Amino acid sequence: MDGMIETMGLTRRFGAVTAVSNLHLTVHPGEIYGFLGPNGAGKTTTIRMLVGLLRPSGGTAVIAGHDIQQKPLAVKRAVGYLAQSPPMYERLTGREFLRFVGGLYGLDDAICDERGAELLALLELTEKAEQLIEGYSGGMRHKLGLCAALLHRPQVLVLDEPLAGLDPYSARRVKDLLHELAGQGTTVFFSTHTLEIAERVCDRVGILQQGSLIAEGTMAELRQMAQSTAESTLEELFLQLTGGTAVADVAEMLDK
Amino acid sequence: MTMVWKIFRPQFWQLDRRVRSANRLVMAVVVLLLGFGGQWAWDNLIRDKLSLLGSDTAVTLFAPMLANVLMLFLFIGIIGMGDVMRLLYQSADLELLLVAPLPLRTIFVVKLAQCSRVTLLPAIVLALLLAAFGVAQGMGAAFYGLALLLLLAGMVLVTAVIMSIVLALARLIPARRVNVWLPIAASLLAVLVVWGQQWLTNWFVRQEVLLRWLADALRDVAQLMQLTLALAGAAVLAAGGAYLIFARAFYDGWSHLREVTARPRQAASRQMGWWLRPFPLQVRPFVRSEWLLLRRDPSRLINLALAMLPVLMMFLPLLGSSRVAELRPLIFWLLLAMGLFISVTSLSAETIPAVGRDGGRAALWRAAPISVRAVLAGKFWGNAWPLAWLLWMLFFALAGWYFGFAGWQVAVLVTAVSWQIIIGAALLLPFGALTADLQAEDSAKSVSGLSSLLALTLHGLFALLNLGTAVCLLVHWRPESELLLPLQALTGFSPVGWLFAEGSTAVMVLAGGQLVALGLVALFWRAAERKLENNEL
Repeated sequence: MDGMIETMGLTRRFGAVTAVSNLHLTVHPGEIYGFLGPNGAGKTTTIRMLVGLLRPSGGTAVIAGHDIQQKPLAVKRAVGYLAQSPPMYERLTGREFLRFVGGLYGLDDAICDERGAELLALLELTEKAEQLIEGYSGGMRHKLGLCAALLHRPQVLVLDEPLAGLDPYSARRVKDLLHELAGQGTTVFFSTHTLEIAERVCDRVGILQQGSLIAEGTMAELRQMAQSTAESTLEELFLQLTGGTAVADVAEMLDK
Repeated sequence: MTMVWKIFRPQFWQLDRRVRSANRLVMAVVVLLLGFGGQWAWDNLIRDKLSLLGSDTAVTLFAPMLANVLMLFLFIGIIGMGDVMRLLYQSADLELLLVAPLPLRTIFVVKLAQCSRVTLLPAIVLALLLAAFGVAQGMGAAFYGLALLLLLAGMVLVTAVIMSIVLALARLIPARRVNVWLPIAASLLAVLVVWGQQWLTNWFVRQEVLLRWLADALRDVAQLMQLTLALAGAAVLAAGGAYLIFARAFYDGWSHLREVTARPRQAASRQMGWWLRPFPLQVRPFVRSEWLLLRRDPSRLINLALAMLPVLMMFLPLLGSSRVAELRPLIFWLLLAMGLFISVTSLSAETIPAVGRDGGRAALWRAAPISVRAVLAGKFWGNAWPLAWLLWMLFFALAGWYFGFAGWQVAVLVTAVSWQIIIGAALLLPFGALTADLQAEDSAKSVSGLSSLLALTLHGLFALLNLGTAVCLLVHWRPESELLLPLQALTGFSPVGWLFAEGSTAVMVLAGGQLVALGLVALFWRAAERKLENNEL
């Protein structure tokens, strides 16, 4: 196994509904992997299985050399996770929240404060660090969640819509940060709806539809797969591969 | 009204779905139990007593009883002010209502209907009383119709008054303070109402004209209609007044509540490290965060403070009394019983939802490399029970000094109540975790009412066991103690007699009971660990 994240037949069923079906994918160390798919495709379910919040119904995954079912604590130590809507304690300050999360990963207060200060400064939250989280905007919460995910310097970052709700400036900062982390060897696995972000940030992209991986590769590989021209955007490729006619449908609906 | 119905419709759909998804076998058993139980209760408990309400004297006795029910309306209404505050300013549907093209009066009616739930309990009590009275007196359909209108008018009246107070407070006082302190102030006010109830009831009983009028209204439909119309008029006026305040003050109050100026004192979080050192490393983050959260939301401590109030109310009149020495044994048992049983209610609101309150935030510790055992331990040590314990210990120290108890007598009080609080918390917390729904839409409702009731019953039984154990210990090791005198008078009552019996049966049974309690703690703890480990988020 040469992947930092490897899923082998990963499957999750909710009663009669199969949210993720027989998923095989490999993400290499230091790679930024974008996980794309329409709403309800199974992206968040996959992510929740990888970080140990959901148990697979079938198959398994190995992260940083540890099986998610056999060695869940070792996997969790290696992973930093940012949820779509990061859960937080409203009446803690940003700094206290980071200390709390750092404590869960075995970091002492001094390290939490030191690394926390760096990350907060990087994401321009230093001034808000002593304020209660209940006063944070959605974007600020997201950035704080990202700080928390990075605090223990994980080998693997699993991010569910990491740029959602961020202003362009912050989004740019986060993109740069992801590149920097990948350059240092951190593996980044993230889901997104924003195709432009995936196109610009990711080394490779996987497209999920109805729980199955229907396409995977670099932009060039995807173009080849879809037999498109070199100018095709990821949006065009995405719609072609997922069989969507979303743009035309919306235009038609608005014309009515 | 069509719009109000449309807004409430999803709640009926949810209810419908819940009923449809309920286990049919369980539903059938519940229906059968209610049917047979109701029949049995009617035959054995209600029918004979109901005939008493049919007499003429019952009418004159029934009228003053209404005074108590009205007091209950007021009491429950005041206690529910915190709930009204939440429904008015913090409910999840509010943003949806405010952005929708709805006239303000529709939103007001929706909120009035939602807030009226705080008066539901006294309304049910009054409904039962009026229904029983109607059946006993053989009243016609008009009586029941008017009684229903009377109830609705009463509910609207009280709700509108409480809403007006809350709306005005949120507008006038800094919102954050209202939010935190209103439930506390309301509860203290409610205690004062209870305190003043005797005086008010006495006053009411002396109002002969009013009582006669009420008694006549109960029998004469025309007069009942007058009463209903009067109350309905008052309700409409109160609702109109509340609407005017709502129209003028709601938006200001709402935006005030969203203003965040709170910057907690920095020193608070920075100077906390030293006292965490005795705890294992993995437990510390929970202990610290729980204590910080508790400190920043003092309204959560209300149950601890309220639990002490009836105790103080009972003992304050004894201060300065010349009969203290004579009453000392009785005071001892009262102190012990109150310490054991009242700690049940004071602890439950904090210990039962300790894990469930996290709701979706559980993902933070589920995704972290930390054992569920450490999470439970963190929640246990970060809980408010040490505060309850401290309060009781202080109270016993003061009471022991004032009432002149011997050192060993204070030690018995301290040991028994400490055992109750610590083991009780260790029992309730995993039980709450075991039954918590971490995916509940509202994390405050993550533990069902039934689970809480079961937990409280369990804790109540444990308090009874501890009371029995304390009596038994004194009977066997301090048989000459003056403390046993008041209990010896009760030995005719078989459970007390059994505690005083010769031989070691009672000791063995009570010791066995304590072992079972400790076994349950271990069992619940392990079951909660397993449940949380397998819980999916």
